[in-house]
Amino acid sequence: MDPRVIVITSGKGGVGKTTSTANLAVNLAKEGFKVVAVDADIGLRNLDLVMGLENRVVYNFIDVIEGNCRLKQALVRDKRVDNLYLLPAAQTRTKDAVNPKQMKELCNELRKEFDFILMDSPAGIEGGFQNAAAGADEALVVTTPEISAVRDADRIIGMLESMQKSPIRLIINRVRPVLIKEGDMLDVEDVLDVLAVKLIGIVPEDTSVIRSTNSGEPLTFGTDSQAKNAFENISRRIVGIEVPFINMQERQESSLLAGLKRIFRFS
Amino acid sequence: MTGITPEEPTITLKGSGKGLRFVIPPSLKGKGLWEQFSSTLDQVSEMIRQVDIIIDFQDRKIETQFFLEFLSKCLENKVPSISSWETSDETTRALFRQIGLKSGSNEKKRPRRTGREETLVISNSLRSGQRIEHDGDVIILGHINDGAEVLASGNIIACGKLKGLVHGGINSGAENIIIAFSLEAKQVRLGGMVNSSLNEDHEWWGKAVRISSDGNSLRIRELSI
Repeated sequence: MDPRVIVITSGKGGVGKTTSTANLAVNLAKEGFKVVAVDADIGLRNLDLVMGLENRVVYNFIDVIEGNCRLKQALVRDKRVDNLYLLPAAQTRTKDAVNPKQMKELCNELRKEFDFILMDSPAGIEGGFQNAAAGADEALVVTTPEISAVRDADRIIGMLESMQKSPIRLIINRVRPVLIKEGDMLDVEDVLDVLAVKLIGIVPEDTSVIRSTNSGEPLTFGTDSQAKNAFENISRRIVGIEVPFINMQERQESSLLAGLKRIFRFS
Repeated sequence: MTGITPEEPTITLKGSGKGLRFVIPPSLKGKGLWEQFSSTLDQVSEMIRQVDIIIDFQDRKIETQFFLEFLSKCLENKVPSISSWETSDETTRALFRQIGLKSGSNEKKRPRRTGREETLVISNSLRSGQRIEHDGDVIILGHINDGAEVLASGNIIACGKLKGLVHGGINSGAENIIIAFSLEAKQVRLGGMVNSSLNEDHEWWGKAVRISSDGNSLRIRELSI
């Protein structure tokens, strides 16, 4: 398999790019691939925290580009999973510290070592995003089913299309079936009607995500949860395995039924 | 007696895709103008060697003597070159043309119906941030998403959901129309009129509509498509 460089982006901030990057990186590594998660958010790095590797960061990719260290010195190996690495961003620099050409060269170096290079893009459409996307072949766009996030995702998809990234696929994050049913949240079809790209995953709203990001323990290492299963399915689809999408409504009802059963002590 | 001291007019700098624009207000005159011009050039002395410079006189009426003095100040301050001289005053524009200067109006250019325009057909949806500006009719074979814009001197037809901004009949009369297969935009513009009170409460919201003008306001009529 040729190495794949995937930028994970959104336009809007706070929709789950870093969470998605961390969890997909872990899942792909567990599938047996050699994976590096690159934090391309210079100045506002978070991927190290979400992956629980912040205490082991010594160098960052700016140091690599500027020749202050070798690539291997900047890579942080995740000891919990074989073949999983983090390449952190610099927290004390700004997005103009690198340019798209340098990022392409960095990606080309990473291609020599890794099967998957996941670029965690900053929010926005300016230089930070341009740098993150420069070396990527394909893109995962993360959105939530809210009109502001969808509009921003539409903008970013237009830009990715003009940069000829392909394929561009969509993750709809933080889905709440109850709100969809009540008409207070866009449903998946509404989002796809606007964005018109292939869907690769739907991640339900799940409190386990907050616990996971705050503790620096990606979902895969934790107990079973809807979000954990969703990210596992997305990583399988990334490598080409067909996994059917779970009906959010059925899942909501079955968890409600399970809850009732528990309350009334039915087996 | 106290009073409010009027603010001194100042030269402002604006960056744009075309370069660095020096906007010189018409009310700035005499010694104050030359001092400000010199000090502004001094502040951006490095930048002006790397970008195009546009001098925008706004609606100042310029005479030959003033212009010669302006040029001498540019030479004094070692201005490398000026790519464009902008004015909205017709007399000044005529002067610039006469002496062979590259000049432009600082009014935004809009498409104007000339009777020779073609119909532009876009065979995909427009995404947020994409903008079409065309002299003629425009047909979009898809949606116009929220954040997308279509400006046309003629008619506009959206063969999908209209959620973005459309402005038809720019610089022309009330004869143009806008058709959308599903109107879901909060604002539409036709000719010189704007309707910004569109919302889900209207009976035609989300339906195929024809938008036209009766001279005083925009009319929205549901279509059977």
